[in-house]
Amino acid sequence: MPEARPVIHVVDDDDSFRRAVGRWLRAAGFAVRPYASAAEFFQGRVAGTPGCVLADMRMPGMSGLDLQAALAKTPDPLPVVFLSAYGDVPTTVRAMKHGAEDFLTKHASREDLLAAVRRALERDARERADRAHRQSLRGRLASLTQREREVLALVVQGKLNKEIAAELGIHERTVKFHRTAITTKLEVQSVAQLTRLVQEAGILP
Amino acid sequence: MSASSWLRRVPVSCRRFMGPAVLAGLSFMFPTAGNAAPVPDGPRRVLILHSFGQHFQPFADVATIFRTELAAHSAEPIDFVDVSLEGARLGDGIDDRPVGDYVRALAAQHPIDMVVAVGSPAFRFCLGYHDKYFPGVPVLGAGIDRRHMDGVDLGSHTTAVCVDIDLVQLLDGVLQVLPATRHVGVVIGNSPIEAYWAAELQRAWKPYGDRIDFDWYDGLTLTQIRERVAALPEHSAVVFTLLDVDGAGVPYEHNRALDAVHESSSAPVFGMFAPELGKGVVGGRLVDVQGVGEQSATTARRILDGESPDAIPPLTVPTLAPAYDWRELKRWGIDAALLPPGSDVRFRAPTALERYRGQVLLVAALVLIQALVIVLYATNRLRLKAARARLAASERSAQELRRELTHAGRVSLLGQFTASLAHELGQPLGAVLRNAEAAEIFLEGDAPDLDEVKDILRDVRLDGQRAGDVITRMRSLYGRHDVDVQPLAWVDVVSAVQAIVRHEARVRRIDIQVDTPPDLPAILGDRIHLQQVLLNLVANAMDAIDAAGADERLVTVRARATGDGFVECSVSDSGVGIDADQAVGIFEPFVTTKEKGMGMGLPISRAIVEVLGGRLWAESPPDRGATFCFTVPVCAREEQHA
Repeated sequence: MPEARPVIHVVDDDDSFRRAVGRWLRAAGFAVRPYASAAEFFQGRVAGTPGCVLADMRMPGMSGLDLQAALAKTPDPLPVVFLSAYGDVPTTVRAMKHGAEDFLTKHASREDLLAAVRRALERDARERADRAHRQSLRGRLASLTQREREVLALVVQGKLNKEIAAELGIHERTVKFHRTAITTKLEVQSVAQLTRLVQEAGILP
Repeated sequence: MSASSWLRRVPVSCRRFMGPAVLAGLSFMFPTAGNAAPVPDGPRRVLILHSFGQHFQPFADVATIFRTELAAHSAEPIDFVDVSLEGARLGDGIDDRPVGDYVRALAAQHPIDMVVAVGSPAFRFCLGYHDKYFPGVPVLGAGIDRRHMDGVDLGSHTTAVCVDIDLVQLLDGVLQVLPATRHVGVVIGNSPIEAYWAAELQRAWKPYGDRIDFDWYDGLTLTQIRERVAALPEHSAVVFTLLDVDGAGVPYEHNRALDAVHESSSAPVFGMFAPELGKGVVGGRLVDVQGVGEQSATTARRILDGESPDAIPPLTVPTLAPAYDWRELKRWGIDAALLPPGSDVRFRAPTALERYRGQVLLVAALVLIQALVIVLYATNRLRLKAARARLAASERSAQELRRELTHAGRVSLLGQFTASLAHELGQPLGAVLRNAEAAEIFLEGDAPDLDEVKDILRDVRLDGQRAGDVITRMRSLYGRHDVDVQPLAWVDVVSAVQAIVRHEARVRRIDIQVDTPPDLPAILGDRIHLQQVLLNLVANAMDAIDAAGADERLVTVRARATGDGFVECSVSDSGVGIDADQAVGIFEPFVTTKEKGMGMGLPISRAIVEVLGGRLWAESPPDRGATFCFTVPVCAREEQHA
């Protein structure tokens, strides 16, 4: 069941550290879900719930980097903050290159860790809103009527109202009405924006 | 020039005076419009063509507001004539054309000034039969959804006041205030126009199919719908769209259906039209029915004043800003923080605080002062307790670890295993730190859970022990140490070394395989020194693999009983092996093949093995990696037992 409140997923094969960081996050007011492995995390997570992942770098089976790569491919990714008992430079660089939100040692200061978690949650909220907006726009494009699609196809080809009216065999006034409906529906101000949106969504042939 | 554009040019002040003449002109040009001479200064006649009977929602509200507004803003009396189509309601191919004949007959006796079509079915009827039944009479569509403007070509006599029913926004609005929603029950009726909307809803909501289970109630009777909404699972919402005719063909006028659904529903009910707010729906961005009625009246007034519909572009009344019913938000526990910014929350009941502000503040102040005194006293005690616990925890862990780490750092071979050591210590250290911080926060709370704090202290103790074991292992290896020969199990020596190199090997992606026969006899030797020898050989093997850069990255540690009183241990690598030239010098001090090596490892190892009564040598078969072997005497007592 997706929840509105963000959840911090702690993925670490070290039982004691997992318990400790879980307590620490709960004390700081976060909702926490612990997992002993990346596989457990993928089985247990509820897609659609906002949050972030705190993952150990080295774990048996899928490593932290593997988890990050697999998560990025899902339709509902989360930012990953890596925690390592001891961070070596090449692994850190690799993790950051693949979009890790942060890379900290397990005994990092309270302030650093808290700031990293907050940044990850902010990033998740931002990316989640972007995704929702895109989905909503896709829905809107899908909800255009047949005639609006016809008009839209001609508008993005750069045709004038008069030409569109002639092509579709309707009054220019009717064309204007449909155009207003399309731009209101898709929340765009200009033909350029409209064209870009249509290209991004790829709804027209 | 058409009659209407001619009318437009006549000054308004003259128009009433000229009224009869104009109407006479109309009847001359369009004989069907009637031959009877109009009564001078008689009422203007507006025919309201209903789509769906006169009392079905939301059409009834549009019509009522329209006639009220038009009458209020007209100087002359208005005669409203109500005629209703039934095809959109009853279906079954009902032919509405006799209604047209009736209108024509009516207009012949009493000329009609304009036709207002409420809802899309009536509007379509006007567009199709205008020329046949009331030619030349201006037509205004009121409350036409923009979808029905599709394929419509507005002639010169027609205009419309439209609405934009945004079905995606409707569902987004539900998900915004109830993000956990997984089930949505969709209340929709069964008449032809409702069937049209059911299809539109399914099309618009299809992209949400992977998130939400939709339960469609079209085709059900109102009784069945009530049963379904009463039995919805957790995380459900009900969207009430249109229910004017149910699956059994029973019509529901006014708001009877909404009342019934609201009464039965076990989940929050959402609607589409503004007049539903306050009648049981939660709210959201609703269709401005009042605005449609008012705007239609304004447009009708302009047409009655002589403007041609041709000159009035069809316009769309925007959806209202989000508005919610406070009582419903409270009933379903919807967090006000989830409402879109700028939401209007109506029907708010005054809170106890608002009602008894003065008394509440006074009592609260007294309680607060009292509580403050108690809390100050209690927290002082708790702080003292917490400070003691923290001191105990950190004394056992961090300080001790740091001091020991500094000491161990002095030892030369340790350099190679810094990362391993840091990792082995970092794990418990991190846990101790997080646990101590969590305990601190818990103890600062109002009612600290002492059981939780007890658990934390237990974990801190265990982690302290764990870190302590790592330190002990390292210390014993690298601290000063006199030779102490004891009977030993070889497997203990191997596993201690394995624990030290495990992390390093993982990082360098080297596989370390240990092959110890289960029946290997006990050996006689110095545990610490044997660990040092083995560690040195394994470290060399790992370096040889890195130097070779081969795909196969394997170190094998084997042991076997030689049968003549010794156990022979070997460490093989998958590196490049040793040249014949090098093989001579490798056991000499300061001879090394490594950039950073000191060349002390093998000489020390050989010395240790010889002190213990064994031998150490190298083998390098051609085209394979190197193997280093050493022997250790078997424990004599053990041999006698065997």
